[in-house]
Amino acid sequence: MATADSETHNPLEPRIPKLQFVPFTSALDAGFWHELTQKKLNEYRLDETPKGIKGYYYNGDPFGLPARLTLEFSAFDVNAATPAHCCPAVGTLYNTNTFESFKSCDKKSLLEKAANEIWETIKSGTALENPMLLNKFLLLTFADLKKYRFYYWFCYPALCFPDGIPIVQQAVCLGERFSPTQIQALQKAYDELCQREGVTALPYFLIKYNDKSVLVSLLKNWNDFFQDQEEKVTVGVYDPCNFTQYPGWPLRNLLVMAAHRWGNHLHSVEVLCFRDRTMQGVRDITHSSIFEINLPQMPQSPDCPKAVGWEKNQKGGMGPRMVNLSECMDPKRLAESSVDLNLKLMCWRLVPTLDLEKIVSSKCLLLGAGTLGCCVARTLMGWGVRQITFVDNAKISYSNPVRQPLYEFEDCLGGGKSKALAAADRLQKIFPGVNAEGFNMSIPMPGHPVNFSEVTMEQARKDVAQLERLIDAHDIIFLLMDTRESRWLPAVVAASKRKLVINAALGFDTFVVMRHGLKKPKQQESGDSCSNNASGSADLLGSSLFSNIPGYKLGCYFCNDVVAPGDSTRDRTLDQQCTVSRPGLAMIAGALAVELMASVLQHPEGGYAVASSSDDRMNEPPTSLGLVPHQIRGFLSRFDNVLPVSLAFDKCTACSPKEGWETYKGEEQQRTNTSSLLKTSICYLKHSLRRSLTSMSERGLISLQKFLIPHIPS
Amino acid sequence: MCCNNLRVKKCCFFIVPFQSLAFCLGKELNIHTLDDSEVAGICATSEVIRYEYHVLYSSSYEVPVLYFRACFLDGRPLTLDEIWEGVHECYRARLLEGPWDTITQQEHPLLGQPFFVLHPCRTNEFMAPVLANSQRENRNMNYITSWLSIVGPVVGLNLPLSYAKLVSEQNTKTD
Repeated sequence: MATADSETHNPLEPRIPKLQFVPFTSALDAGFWHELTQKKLNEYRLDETPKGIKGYYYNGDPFGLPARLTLEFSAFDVNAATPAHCCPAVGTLYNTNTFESFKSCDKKSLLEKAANEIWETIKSGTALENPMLLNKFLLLTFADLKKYRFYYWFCYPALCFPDGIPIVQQAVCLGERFSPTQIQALQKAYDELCQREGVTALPYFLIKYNDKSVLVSLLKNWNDFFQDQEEKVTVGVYDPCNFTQYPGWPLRNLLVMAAHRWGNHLHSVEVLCFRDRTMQGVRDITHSSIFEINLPQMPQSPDCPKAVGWEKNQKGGMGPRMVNLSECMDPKRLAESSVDLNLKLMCWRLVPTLDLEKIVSSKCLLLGAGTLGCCVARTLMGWGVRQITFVDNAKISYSNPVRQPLYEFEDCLGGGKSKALAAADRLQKIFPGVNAEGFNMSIPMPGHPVNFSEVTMEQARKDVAQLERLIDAHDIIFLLMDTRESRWLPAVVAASKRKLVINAALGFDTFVVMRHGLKKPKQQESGDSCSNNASGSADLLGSSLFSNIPGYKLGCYFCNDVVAPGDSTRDRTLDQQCTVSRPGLAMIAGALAVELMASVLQHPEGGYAVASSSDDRMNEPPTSLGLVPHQIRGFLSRFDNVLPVSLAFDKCTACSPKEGWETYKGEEQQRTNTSSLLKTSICYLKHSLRRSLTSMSERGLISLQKFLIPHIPS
Repeated sequence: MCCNNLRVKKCCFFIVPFQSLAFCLGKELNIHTLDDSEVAGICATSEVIRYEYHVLYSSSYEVPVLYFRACFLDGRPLTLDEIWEGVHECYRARLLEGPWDTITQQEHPLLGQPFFVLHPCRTNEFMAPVLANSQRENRNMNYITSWLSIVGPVVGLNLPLSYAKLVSEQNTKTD
C-alpha cells in the first residue's frame, strides 16, 4: 500500500496548519461479549433503556498500536477498579432488541444528546470538578444470540470549533524540549499527584515549569494555579495516541472547555500529550509530544456546538461493526473444538505422526445397534468420527439399557423405540457435532425365507437395495449383528464394493474382532489372476504360511466356516437364541473393533496392509498406533487375546469373487425376472457350500487349527 | 492476578492526505457532518492482538496455572492454531517435549469462559529444582515470579528482569 508523505502540505489547505486529532479505536474483549450475553439473558431481557458502562484507555503503548478505548468483562460494573496506569472513561450502553431498531435508531440525536450533556457539564463547571465527564462514550449494540453475532457502533462525542484550531508551534517530542532534570521532575510531580488523589491516572492536569522544577495540579485548580499567567498556560493530557504530530481524542473537549471558560483572556495553550511507557522495566516519557495552539473564540451562544464522534468501521466508512463469536460462545461449537482439541493432544505429544483426519473423516456404517453397536458408536465418537449410521430392525426392550449404553429405561416404554433411530438421536444428544442417522430395517438373511407373499418379497427387495445404497455411501462397514447369517449379505456387498469391513462377534466369554480381506481394485484383478495362483502355491509351500499376508489375501468371516450360514436360531432354546455373553465382553470387543479400524486407517496401505500376527508383537510396529492385525480373538476366561491370521478361501461363499458376489450380482441383474432373489441365492449358497466344504478340508481346516490352538509353534 | 499484553501482527499504519479521503466519508448515514479536525486516513490495517493472562491456583495440582486468551480488537478470540502460530519457534519444539507439557483449552473456573491453559501437570517437576536451589543458596525467591518467568515467555508474556530484582530487594528489606 502506497502511503503519501504526511509532511507534505496540500496546496489547497490554508497556510496556518490546523490541529488534528487521532480518534479512538474501540477494543472489545471476548469477556465483554460474554458478559453482555449474560446481562441480556438474565438481567436486561427486553429492557432497552440506556445502561451505564465503563471502559479505559492507556498511554503506555509501544509505537504502532492504535489509540484504544478498551471494554472488558468488568465494563458493566461502573465501580470496578481501573487497571493500573489506565484512565477510566464512562459510557452509555444502548442495547437494542432487534436488528431493525439497531439500524433505525437515530444516531444523530443520540450523539447530539450526549454532546449536549457534555456541554452542560462544561457550562455548569461539573466537568472541571470531574474531568472524566469530558470523555464520555456511547455504545450501540445488538446481540444476535441465536447466531452469536454482535453488531456494535461506538461513539466518542467531541465538540467542535467551527473553524478548527490553529497550531502556533508544531509538535515535538518532550525529550527535545525538556531537559532530563525537567523530565524527572515532571514524572515525580505527576506520580505524587496521582498518589495524593488515589487514582490510577489523571486524564488532564495543569503544568507550570521552569528550568529546574515542574509543578502539576488538578484541572479544578485552574484559576489559582494559573493566577499569574494570563495569556499562555500549559495543560497536560493523558494521551492514548502514539503519533508525535497528533494528539488523541481526549484533548478535544478539554480545549472546548478551556475556550468556553477562559477563552476571553487566554490566547494560546501549550499542550503536553503525556505518554508514559515502561519497557523492559525502564520507564520513559520522552516520547510525549508538546505543541502550542491558538485557542479559538467560542461563539457567544448558550447552544451546544456541533459534535462528531461515531466511529468508522473497519473499511473506513461510517457504519457499524460486526463480530461473529459463535466459535467461542456457541456451546455446540465449543463442544466440537474441545473434542478436536482433545484428540489433537494425542498428536502433539504421544503420536506426532498420527493422521487424525483419516479417522475423523471416515463414514461409518454400523449394522446392528445392540450391545456391540452401542459400544462401537461410543468409541467412534471418542475418535471424533462425525458420520455414524445405524441399521437395526429391533425395538428397545427392558433388558437392553443396562448393557446397551445408548438407551435408557424411558426408551423401552410403550413397546420400545426403534433401536436404530433411538441410537442416532442419543448420539446427537451426547455430541451435537456428530452427524448420526438411523435406519429401522431388516437385513435379508440366508435361511430366513422371505417368499411368503408378494409384500414380503417386495420388502426384501427394498431392504437389499437400501443396504446397497448405505454400503455405497460409507467407507467402513461394521458387522455387529447377533447372528452369523445376517452378516452374509453385507459381507458380500461390501466385498464387491471394496469397502473395509470390520466384524465383531461374541460368544459367552470369547470374541472375534476382524477386518475382512480387501480385494484388489477391480481393474488390477484380471492382470493378477495368474500370478495370484503362483504366489498362492508358494505361500502354501513356504514355511511362513501365515506371515506377511497382504490385506487382499486375508480371509473374511465366512472363509473359515465349515457350516453354511443358515437359520441359527431355529430349534434353539431362548438362551441359545440370544447372544448371552459376559457383560464386559461387548465393551471390550466393540472398543477393539474401533481401535482396529483406527490402526488400519493409519497404515499407508489401509485395508491392504499386511496383517500383523501375535509373532509381530516384539517387532517394529507398521503404524504409529502399532500393529494391524487381521483378527483379534479374545478369551475372557483366560484374559487373553491372540492375533491369528488366515488366508482368503477362494471358494468362500461371501468374499470369493467367483463363488460369492459375482454370482450374487448375476442374480441381482436378473432381479426383475426372478421371483425370489433370495431363495435363489440361498439355493446357490447351499450348493456352493457343499462344493466348498470339500476343498476347505484341505486348506480351511489348517488355518482353523492355526487359530484355535494359537500357541503351537509352526 | 491479571495482565494484558498487546502485539501487532503485520503492523502497517498508513497516512494519506485528508482531502483525498474526504469525499468518501459520511455518505452512509446523515450523521457524519464533515469533521476536518479528525486525522483522516489513519487506517489501522494491522491486526492488533490482545493477550490476556490470568494466574489461577489449581487445587488438584497445588500449583499456579497460567490461563490466557488472545483476541482481536473486536473481541474475536484466536483459535488454538492461531495461538500456535504466535508461539515462537524456539519454544514450539520445547513446548511439545518440554516440562510444561502443552497448551489445552479449558473453561475459566471463575469467568466460565473458554481460555487456553498451560497444563500444570508437570509444574512441580520443573519448579522443585528451582526451589531446592534457592533454599540451598539461602536466597529469597518469589515462587510466582520464578514460575511466571519460565512459563510466560512461551505464550508471549515476557517478564522483565527488574521483576525478579524488585522481588529480591523487597525480600531483603523485609528481612
